[in-house]
Amino acid sequence: MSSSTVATGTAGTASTGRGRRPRMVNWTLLPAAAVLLVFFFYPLATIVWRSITEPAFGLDNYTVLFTDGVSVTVLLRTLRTALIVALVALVIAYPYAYAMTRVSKRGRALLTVLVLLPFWTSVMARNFAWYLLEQRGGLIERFLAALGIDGVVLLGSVTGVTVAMVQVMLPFMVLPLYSGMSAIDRRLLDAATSLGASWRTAFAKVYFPLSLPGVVSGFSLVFIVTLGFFITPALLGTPQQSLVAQVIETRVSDLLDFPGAGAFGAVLLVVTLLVLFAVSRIARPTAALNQAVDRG
Amino acid sequence: MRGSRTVTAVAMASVLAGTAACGSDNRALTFVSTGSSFQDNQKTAWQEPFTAESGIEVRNDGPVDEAKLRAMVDAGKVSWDVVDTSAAAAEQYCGTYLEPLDFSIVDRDAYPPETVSECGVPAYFYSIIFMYDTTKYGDRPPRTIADFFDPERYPGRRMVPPEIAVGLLEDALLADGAHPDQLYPLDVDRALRKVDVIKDVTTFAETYGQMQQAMVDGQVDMALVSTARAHQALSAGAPFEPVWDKTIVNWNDLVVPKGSPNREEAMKFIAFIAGDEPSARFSELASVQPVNEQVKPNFDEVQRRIDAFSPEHRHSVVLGNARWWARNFDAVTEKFTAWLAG
Repeated sequence: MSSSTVATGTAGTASTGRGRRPRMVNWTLLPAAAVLLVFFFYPLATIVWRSITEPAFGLDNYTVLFTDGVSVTVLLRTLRTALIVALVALVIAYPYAYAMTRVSKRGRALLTVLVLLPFWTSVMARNFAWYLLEQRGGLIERFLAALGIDGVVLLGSVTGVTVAMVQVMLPFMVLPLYSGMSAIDRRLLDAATSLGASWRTAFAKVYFPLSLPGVVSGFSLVFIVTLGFFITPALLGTPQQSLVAQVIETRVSDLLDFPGAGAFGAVLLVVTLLVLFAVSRIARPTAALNQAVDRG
Repeated sequence: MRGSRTVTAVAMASVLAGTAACGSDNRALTFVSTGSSFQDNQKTAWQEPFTAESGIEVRNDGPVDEAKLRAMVDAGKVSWDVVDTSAAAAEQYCGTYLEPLDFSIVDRDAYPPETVSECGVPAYFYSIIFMYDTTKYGDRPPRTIADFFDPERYPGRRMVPPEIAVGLLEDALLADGAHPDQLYPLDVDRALRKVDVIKDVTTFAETYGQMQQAMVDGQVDMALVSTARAHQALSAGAPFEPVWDKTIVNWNDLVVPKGSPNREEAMKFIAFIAGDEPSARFSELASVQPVNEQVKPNFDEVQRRIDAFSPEHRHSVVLGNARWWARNFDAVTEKFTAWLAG
């Protein structure tokens, strides 16, 4: 509680100094804001506008989405996939990022390179690599067969897509987690243990809540990027398990139904914003996040 | 062929290259097709002799993307002059996104009469042939199209083309006992009920290139595959054989986008392609069939094995109905997508 008061206090102090600083801040924001306005908000507005004015003014394109019996299924499937990918990535990345904060300088450099190396490799190359690994007669099938598990082909299955997506998204989880964790003052843990907390309690009550800002940013980043994933499900999955991006692609390039695709895109955007809002609500009670938000 | 998808990056790069190449010389056509070696063959068989004869340069762009075509026409900035697309698309977008052809330049009589439409003339026929892996079925190989839709008697992974309008539904209906002469109007629900039987063991390809690769890599045991890709796969050593029960044959049209900056030259180019020499040459290079059946391409041994038009395979040919597809493409695509993704 007290730390949250401190946080608000800091914010208060910052706001008293608002007299001089904001003008400069505004100028520095201008180029980025201009780029966003022209290349993001304007096209976005056009897409949304078309979705409510073509072929006739109204919400027909949206009504169709919720009544055609497939769009909602696809949307839910996409949300579920993104949730699973984000959760699995979190479970894998959390100990990894933690280890990054605990090893020597050289060890950290090595762990960082291990994360960044795939990050620097083209997404296409990585997807094709997964294609080869997951295909019939591929490495994964042969490996599992050697262990006595026969006929496992991941290519064209939801599991196969999820595995590849997790690998593609892992850097987006590790890096925010690491940056959040490296800012945590480890003396707080020492203090907790010196006051009689077991290591486990100290971790659960002190370290984990303090790492939450990193968890939230990593989780939301991975979740949102995964929602719009196209290449991986298109290459490794099957149309039987289409995600939103694939259905939108069909609407645009096969049906030339730009307004319908725009409507689906708008719904996806709204859902994404809702999820973001929910995530920020869930994470809100922690003082640490408040602090992070105030600092940011 | 319609809606073939290549990586966006490639498309972007070619757009940039196209823009960069846009110079003062407007006596240069931009030709758009599927890309890959198929378009290289079009360059060799059609564009180079055309440039030699007329002095008009031809540039290449791709892949064919009706969405991009629509966006260009809507924006009034058309950079494409001749597009190789499905006959159904040629009918469907005639007048809205495509220019009517100038039949004083393009010779109507060079094509089978039922294939000529207001905005498009055929460039070549392509067949969707039923092929199976000879190493998988031993001495009891599939014999009829019905076997493709019978996973009980013929287990194994299947693969079907990335486009809905080229034969999957037709094959399903034929397998279900429909008469080849009474396929159209397609009973889409009946066809989908038949495809439903193999849905779990079927890969719905994203591109034709993927089909070729899957056959070479042994990822599939049966496929409904286009001749061009079958030829490539067989040449690469894929152990596949065709079944000559039913072969759905369609054709691609050459069309001119509405507002093309080089309309006149585009018409001349289209007229040139119908000539015996360019048709035959392209058929030989790409393993497709010339639209003018008087033209006899000199096929190699592999091509003769998959030639649906040869006297011994001819009985299997069932012609697709571009006109029906033009009217029903959107409705069928919606139904199919819903069925597939649902």
